Amino acid sequence: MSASTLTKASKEGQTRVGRWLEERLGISGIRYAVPEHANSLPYLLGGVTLFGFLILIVTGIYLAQFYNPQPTGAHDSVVYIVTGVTLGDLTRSIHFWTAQFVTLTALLHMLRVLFTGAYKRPREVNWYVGLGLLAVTLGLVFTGSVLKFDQEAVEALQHNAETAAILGALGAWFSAEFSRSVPLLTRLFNGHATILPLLFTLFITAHVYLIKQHGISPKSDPQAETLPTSGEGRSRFDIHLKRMVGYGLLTFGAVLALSLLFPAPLGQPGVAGVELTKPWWMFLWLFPAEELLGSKALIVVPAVLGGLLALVPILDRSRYLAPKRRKSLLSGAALIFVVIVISGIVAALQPVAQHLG
Amino acid sequence: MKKQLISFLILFVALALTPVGLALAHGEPVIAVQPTIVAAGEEIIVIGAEMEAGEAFVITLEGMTDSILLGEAAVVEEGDDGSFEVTFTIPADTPPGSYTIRAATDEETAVADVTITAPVEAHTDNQSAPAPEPSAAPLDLARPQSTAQNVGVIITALVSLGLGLWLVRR
Ligand code: HEM
Repeated sequence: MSASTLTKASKEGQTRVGRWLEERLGISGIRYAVPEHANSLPYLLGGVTLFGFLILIVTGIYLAQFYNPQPTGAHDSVVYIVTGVTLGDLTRSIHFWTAQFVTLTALLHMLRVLFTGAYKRPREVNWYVGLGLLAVTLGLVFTGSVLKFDQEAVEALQHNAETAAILGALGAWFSAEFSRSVPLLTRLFNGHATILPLLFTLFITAHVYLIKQHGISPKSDPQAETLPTSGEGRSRFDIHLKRMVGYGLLTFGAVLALSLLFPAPLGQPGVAGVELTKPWWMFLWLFPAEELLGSKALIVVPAVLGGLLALVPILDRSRYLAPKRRKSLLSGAALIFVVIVISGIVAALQPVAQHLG
Repeated sequence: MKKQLISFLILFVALALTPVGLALAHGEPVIAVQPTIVAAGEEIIVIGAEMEAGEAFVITLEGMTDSILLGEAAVVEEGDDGSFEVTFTIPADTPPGSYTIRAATDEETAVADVTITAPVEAHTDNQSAPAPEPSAAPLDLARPQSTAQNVGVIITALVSLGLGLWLVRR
């Protein structure tokens, strides 16, 4: 490093530590321009989701020290985490509530991207990376909810086995017969703690790289057209980052309050072959469809929805961002959204139904 | 700057090596269990080393929910150090699972892992455990209630919310 850059670096950081860090890490490099509208909550939902994932990683690593992924020991080990491990109940509750938030913010983030047309050229590929992240997120929720091996988990596993059977060779990984040496629960734990987090890391790296590459999409004003905006705008990324962390901390505060008031639930040890519980909200809406179409609905409905989401950047290729100029796509999406919500409400009110067998 | 870095590195290495130093200086007791996988009702040998002759260790078998007292082991002199080798029987009704064997005096403790499997012989009384009733009810858990912890959580939540609000409004 030349003398002049050294002086420049030492001027930018104010404290000694700041200067030391600046010289070695060049942190001031994140002070690039970003558009002002990117600092509003709808445009920070992705960042809040990412913040939530960091909480999940830390709490998940702690829980994994005490969780026993063997079918004979799983439920007992969760009881032990709650009753015997230092901060175990709290850590588990934070993990549980953060997972609920992260799923919600990821979905809202996707709706924001959909509503503002942020998936348009040149951001189509990042939309697909985002769909990958959504699949990973839902995969994490599903595998995570099975691990506690209570009644609800065993029922989820039964649905898992049924859909695996329908999928045939494609579903082989999800069936108990796939591996004689490792129980299905243990393999799902591997999925939850190793395979899916690895995929998440790959996808989020690509996601963030592409965001930096294209810049945040322009504000969806009536006349706005889709453009790359990298390095443009009147705000700066360090301000954007502070906001992101700010909303992240607000979420964390709420998660702590919920953990204290409503600790993560655990049911009785699971007994296979009956259906007494309902799944969590992110899967619950599927159940009226299952009633109508049988178990195959659990594959057909998500596959159709995923397919429609994949079609979005292909169907809507105009350069306009304003929702008013994309009425047909958005009303179609709104219709589907309403059906999903009604489905969820119906499922929540219905008595538990026997689907299995 | 260079000096600062070097002193930081020295401090870091020193801190990292502290436990090793302590262990070497005091000769921390260690135990081993043979075999490491044993069926309930069978015997294990617990071997202790790096101990002081004359000490008596209490040996317990600790599971996820409870701990079973196996017995005591008296340390005998062997060379510079003391050691013991004692055989215990794992109670036949111990549920299969992962356990730790703990050898402890008032000041010192050493642990080793052991996995217990189902008893080798089938129950002769022909009484299988009653099949559990499936239930959707939540489990009645004895969640630990600590006021200090709750206060800590509330303070952390408030700090987090305050800091969050401050960052969002900047
Ligand atoms: C599940 C985890 C996800 C994380 C952590 C994440 C993270 C982020 C972040 C931090 C941004 C920057 C802007 C913002 O926060 O709005 C962003 C932008 C974006 N995300 Fe995501 N995302 C996720 C899922 C998704 C999903 C499900 C989709 C859509 C299928 C998606 C599509 C996009 C697109 C197209 C952009 C660019 C938006 C623009 O330029 O305005 N992401 N994401």
